[in-house]
Amino acid sequence: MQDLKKLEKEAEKAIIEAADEAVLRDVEIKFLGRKGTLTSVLRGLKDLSEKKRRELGPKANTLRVKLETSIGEKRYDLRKKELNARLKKEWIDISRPGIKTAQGHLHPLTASLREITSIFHSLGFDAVVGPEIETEWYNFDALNIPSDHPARDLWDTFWLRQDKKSAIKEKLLLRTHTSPVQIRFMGKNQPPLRIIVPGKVFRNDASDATHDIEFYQVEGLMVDKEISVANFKEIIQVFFEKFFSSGGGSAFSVKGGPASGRGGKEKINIRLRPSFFPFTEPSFEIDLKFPGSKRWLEVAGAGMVHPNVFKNSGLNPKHWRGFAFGFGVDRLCMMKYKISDIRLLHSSDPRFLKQF
Amino acid sequence: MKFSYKWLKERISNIPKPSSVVDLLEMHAFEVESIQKEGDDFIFDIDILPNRISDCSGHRGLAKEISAIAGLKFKDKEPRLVESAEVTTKDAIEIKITDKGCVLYNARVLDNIKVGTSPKWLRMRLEAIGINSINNIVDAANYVMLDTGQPLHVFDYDKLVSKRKSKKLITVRGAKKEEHFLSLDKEQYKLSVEDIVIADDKSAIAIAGIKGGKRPEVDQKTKIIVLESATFSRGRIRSTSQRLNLITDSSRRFGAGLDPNLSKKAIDELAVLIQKIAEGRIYSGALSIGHKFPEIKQIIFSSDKARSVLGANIPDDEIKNIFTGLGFGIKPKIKNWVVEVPSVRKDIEIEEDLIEEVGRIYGYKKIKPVRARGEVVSAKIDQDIFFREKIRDMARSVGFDEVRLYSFVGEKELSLLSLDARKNVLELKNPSRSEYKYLRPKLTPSILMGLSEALKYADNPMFFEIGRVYRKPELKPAKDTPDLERSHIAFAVGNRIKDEESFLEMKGRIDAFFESLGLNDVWYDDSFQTPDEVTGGIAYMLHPYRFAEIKRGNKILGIVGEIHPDIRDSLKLKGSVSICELNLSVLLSEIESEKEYRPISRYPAVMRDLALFVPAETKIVNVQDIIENIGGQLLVDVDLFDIYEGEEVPEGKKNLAFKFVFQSHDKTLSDEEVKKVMDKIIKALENSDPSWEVRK
Repeated sequence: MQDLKKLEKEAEKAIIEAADEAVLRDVEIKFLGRKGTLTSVLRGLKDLSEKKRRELGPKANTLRVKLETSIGEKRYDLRKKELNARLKKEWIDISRPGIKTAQGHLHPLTASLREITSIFHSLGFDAVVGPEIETEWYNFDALNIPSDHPARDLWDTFWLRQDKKSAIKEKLLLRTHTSPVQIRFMGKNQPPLRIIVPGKVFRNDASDATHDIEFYQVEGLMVDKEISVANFKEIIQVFFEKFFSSGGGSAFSVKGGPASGRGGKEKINIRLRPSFFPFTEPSFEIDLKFPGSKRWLEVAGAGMVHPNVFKNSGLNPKHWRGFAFGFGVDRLCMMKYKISDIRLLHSSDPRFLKQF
Repeated sequence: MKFSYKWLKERISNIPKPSSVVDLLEMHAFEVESIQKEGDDFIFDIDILPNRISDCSGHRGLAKEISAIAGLKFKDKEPRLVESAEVTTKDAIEIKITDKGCVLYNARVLDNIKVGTSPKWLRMRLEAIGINSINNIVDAANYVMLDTGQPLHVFDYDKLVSKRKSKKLITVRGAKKEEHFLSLDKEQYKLSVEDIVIADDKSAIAIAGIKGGKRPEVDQKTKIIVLESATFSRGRIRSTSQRLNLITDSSRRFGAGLDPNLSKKAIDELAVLIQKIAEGRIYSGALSIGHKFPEIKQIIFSSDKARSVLGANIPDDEIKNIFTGLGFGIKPKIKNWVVEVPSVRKDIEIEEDLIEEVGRIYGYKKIKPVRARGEVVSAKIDQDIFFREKIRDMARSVGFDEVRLYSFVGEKELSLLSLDARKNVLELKNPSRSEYKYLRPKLTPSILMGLSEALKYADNPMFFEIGRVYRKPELKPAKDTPDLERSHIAFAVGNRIKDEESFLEMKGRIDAFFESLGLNDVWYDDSFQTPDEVTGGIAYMLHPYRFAEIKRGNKILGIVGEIHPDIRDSLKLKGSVSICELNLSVLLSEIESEKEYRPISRYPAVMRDLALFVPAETKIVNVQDIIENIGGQLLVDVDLFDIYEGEEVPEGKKNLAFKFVFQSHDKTLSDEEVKKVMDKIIKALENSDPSWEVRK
């Protein structure tokens, strides 16, 4: 009896004092191992008299369970302590740069085009595309710009060299705007309709920081029974607000675009100014002004579809009305990402491309 | 075009201050490029819209416009013409028009004029807007043009050559082939039959509507003058002006189209002004040869429609005021109105044009945004557009940076392609520069040039581009312009550190690209028996033993390969470069056909490894083909995870190590079942080539 009490005290002390798992293991072997002190007691029970065995047996077994539990708990504590010590050594300065992934970068124009397409999609506009090489008819005549019209000077045109064998007899050119797709689309689809046409266009113009010989445009067209200038104002207002207020909209981060550093409450100002396009009547330019800025920026051209454009598309202008608009994507993209030279958008310099 | 504030002020009662004039014009009519203070005057540079040249290219017209916008009174002054009863124009000259490009030709004659310097007020007017004073006659003609918008010309009567003694004949005719012309500023021009000239009996004395000639120039001795005020076809003036590259104040106005009625008024104004500042006698009766045009156009107008189109509730009275201010007449009918528009407003022909007048004078600013009525039908997403964007994302995710390069290429890029591929290239008639003379028939040359630039700044640049390529179709003639274009995607990898690696780097990435698009069964064919539209011209640029066509089944998707060392040298590429170009339409159709979901097996997969020695030159695809053919349905994946040459491998051989994945959709496979297939594969490999040795 005395022996068991002593044993218990001794064991408890050893368990408490064990400094690490190895020591604890030794303690465990010392008391509970095959030749351990308590094990010997338990083994020796069979040699005792029945009376003694009944007295000592349960006590020894209880002690065994108790010690096993204590060692288990101690081991758990020691492990936790050791783990913590090890993890502490594994500390990483989280301000260190992460390991670079192998992902590439999408072009900033892709980000802008996607955002534009998605905003208009939410307003019910389908995206459609058309050819970059056009005939004189689709690019000019059908849009109410006959060859002797002074407005043709508004578009410096690249013409294609054609030989006599050419199966297309009409004069070919690189489209100067996405507007020909209006004619192509209305020729095949009955209103009501809402479309946008993103695409590349070409101008034979001197190139500088704000002009390039090719750039991207988005054309919009909405046709229904009773469409008004007021309806156009609403659509274009919603579009520009969304475009410049969203922080990129998709997986693309916006670095210091005009949208940053502004509370969401102030609105972008939009105004319409009279203008002239042969394919719209009335026609206007769209200017916008960012909150806090004093300057109006010209961003788009628009107007109510000219009756001749409906006629040339095979629609009766008495039955249908609509608005059309067009804007340069490069310009918006430059405004949003603060890119200073339009020609950078055709660059293959990784130092530019990897910023997006 | 330049306009003087003081000049405009003469015509407008209580004209607002210059900055307000700018605001009014910008919000209701024209953009003002600049405003500059000149002495006690302000000079506006105004962008008169091309359809408003006919009425607003003179101070008078612009003043009328400003008055209408601001609701102010416009002061019109009719000139008081006093003709001499003793002499008549038709006794002095005769006009003959033989070219239809001249719509109307008016002429007047004055004699006893005194050529000299202009009065100060006139000189100042002209100089304010940058026109040099010449003499009182020329200045008067310029002044009347800047006031009315009608270009005018003055000839020295005595210098006109005539076959008859009694009168001079002025002919408006087509120029002769290669006819020579010496202009007032002593420039020589060679004309063509499409040009219109004003001629006397000897030769051309003016290029109609563009420039006067040297010979009949007014000088200090001039006593008798002929005034010309005409109207010409805008298209003819424009094309001559463009061909001769000669743009003048006159050609700019005629090229936009002018009102013939204006020419009649302007010539009288010029006669009156000359008489005022250079004395002289005005011959009676102006000559006016050509068509007559009504001075008023009548257009049916519905104010209800105008309100509906503008989306603004503008009262009838306000609309009437707008029209009256613009100088239009109104005749109310039962439902609609008849609006009478003066002929000088050439831009107004239909009801919509009148609606624009109402809208802009009323002010677009006052029109409130209104959501369109009618149901918003949710837009459809075009499958092609959707997958094109997915392709873009996947190309990016496997490490490529997107570029958007020019559609134009020059000789340099084309010279990289085979002669065959250059045959059908489309060329520009008027390129902006020779390096941009052609439309690219493939993406590869452009992206290669881009990459060679990038290699200057980066060790391992990787690009992709999705874009159109252009060519004359070979097989069937193009019916419409879409037949001249194709969409392609190209990839390029450059590596200037590990010289050998660009090809495998490319292949690994495009494999991952195809896999991410669900196209796991794309294969590489280096037999190159079937060059097609994508692959044909490009193979020529590639290393002959490091390129392949990319196929799925028998469909050719495109081509991949390392750039030929010759091209690498000639372009001075700083490293190894590989490219890949695919036909995007074929790729899209393959992706769309793969869209359906394939169920995942519920039973566990079993893995087995297999290694064999094969001769170093043996193609991996040949080994893999046998494995896949024999492996059948249960072998769901074969992965070559190691190729090893060197120690432990017999000389001239390489060790291939494969990992096989076996799986069934119906049950858990037993070891015996897998072993049966493995044994079959090993046997087939050993039988197919005695030099192949499966390692056991």
